[in-house]
Amino acid sequence: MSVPLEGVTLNGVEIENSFAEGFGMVATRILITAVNNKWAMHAAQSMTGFATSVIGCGVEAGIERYLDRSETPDHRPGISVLLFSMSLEELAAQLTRRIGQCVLTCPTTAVFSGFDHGQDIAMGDNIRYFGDGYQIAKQIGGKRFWRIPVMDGEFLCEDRAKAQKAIGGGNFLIMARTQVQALQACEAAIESIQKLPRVIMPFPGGGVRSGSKVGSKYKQLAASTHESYCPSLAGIVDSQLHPEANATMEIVIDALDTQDVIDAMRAGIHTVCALGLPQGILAISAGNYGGKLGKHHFHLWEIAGDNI
Amino acid sequence: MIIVCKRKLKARLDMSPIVPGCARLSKSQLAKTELQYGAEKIQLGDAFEVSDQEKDKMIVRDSTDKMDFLGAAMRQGTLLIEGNAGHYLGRFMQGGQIHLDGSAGAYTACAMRGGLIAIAGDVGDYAAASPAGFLYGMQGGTLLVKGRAGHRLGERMRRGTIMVKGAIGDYCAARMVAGTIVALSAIGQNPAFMMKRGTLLVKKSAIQIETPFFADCGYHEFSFLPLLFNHLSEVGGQPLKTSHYAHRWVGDRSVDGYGEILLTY
Repeated sequence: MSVPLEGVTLNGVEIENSFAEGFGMVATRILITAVNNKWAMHAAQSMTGFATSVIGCGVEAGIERYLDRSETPDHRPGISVLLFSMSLEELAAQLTRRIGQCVLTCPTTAVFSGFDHGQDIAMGDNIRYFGDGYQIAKQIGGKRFWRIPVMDGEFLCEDRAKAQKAIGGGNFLIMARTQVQALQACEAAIESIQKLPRVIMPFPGGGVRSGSKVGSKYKQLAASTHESYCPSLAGIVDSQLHPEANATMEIVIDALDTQDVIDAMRAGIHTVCALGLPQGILAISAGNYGGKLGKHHFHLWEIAGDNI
Repeated sequence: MIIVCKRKLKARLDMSPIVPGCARLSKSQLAKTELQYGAEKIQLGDAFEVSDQEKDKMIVRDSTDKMDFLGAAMRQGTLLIEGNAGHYLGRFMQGGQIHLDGSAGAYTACAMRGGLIAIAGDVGDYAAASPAGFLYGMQGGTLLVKGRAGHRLGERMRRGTIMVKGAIGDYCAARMVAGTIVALSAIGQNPAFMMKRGTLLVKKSAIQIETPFFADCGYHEFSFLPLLFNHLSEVGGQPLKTSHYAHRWVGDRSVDGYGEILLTY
């Protein structure tokens, strides 16, 4: 990959000499099936709700993609969901809680592990107690499933899910002349990244407007607003905004490995830059903590480099 | 390893010392392996020609129904049996695969714990049942029978999956504790007698549930059925009809059982 020189632009959009700072996480994939896509999506959306950041939610989760009937174990329409956390214990706890409250409760659903390999974490093994003794274990093809009687028939849940190492914290920032232009660019980038497997954008709709820095003047807060990117503070802080920028939006990416993060960042950055200056897009930057938080550094120049 | 029977057996022969794992022995060591033949002991070389050392794979040619305990306690590898097998085929088997192109005697797969047994012909009585002195029958693995099965198939079965394409005798799934039996053809008298748990899946046309001890729980969708049929299609090498729906009967309520007979259409 060619590394461009300083001050480079892509379709008139400045690519800053910065990097996104990714860190190690653990992830699991589950497959939710239902009588149709509508109800599988209801369960998936409910399960991945309030799962934007591990800081306050314990887990970061998102919908990976729709699954065709031929791709699901029970040949029903389904949704693939990815969940990321900082520890195996927290991931297992959140998985049980979210399946118990959001998938078990949703009419017609069933849930299966989406990974064949990795560390075992309990899934149906905890949910089964809801059956109050009427639950039935079924061992099929070396895997164990729980059939839990519910009011619309049976809820089928695989006993175990698998967890793998993963990467969190991939990101890039879009600086634009107006809030509307930043949002349009953000939506275009999200749409292009959503086409990729093995990747989620855990924040609402995939975009973030409240980029944060570590720490705060208030001792009780672990993170607080990143004033350097707030346009309304540009005159009173050490602003890192492009001089003409009046809005910045961030896209945060969690993925199953580093190449997935790179592919997703590249797809998003190229889509945003294709809009270019005429659409008010001024610069692309990335959030990092000076290299102190994570060992995975995704340099914008290297990632965007191929097309510069 | 290929062993070919070279004499007509008049008495029953205990084949339990010979399993695929023992192919690590040299040809001469194998030939000296002692086998119980009726009331006397003979060496393997007296009854068989041994050739072609191949690790973890054993072929028994010209096998007859006098050869008992074939694949007993087997843990790994593949056992191909050309001909018939006697009683106790795959007894206490823990892993690997047995493929039999003929029929097997009584107590096939009894107390089996893992692996796959695929039988092209019939099996005798007490297949996957508990052997004398043991509380449970089959406790894991898969038994596929293309032909018929005798009486008391899966008696006291605790885990695992059985599929029988031909007719099944009386008392199928009697005193069953857990596991799954799929019957694709007719089934005899008193199925699921004193069943505690587990699943007996059978075509509606093949069974008449007259016992008052099974409660009608209605016609429902069951998400696990496609998974089960997929698995059986894969291991059986033949596609099976996939359905999500079955009529569920629960019992045997005379023993407070929560087993189920699922009737498919």
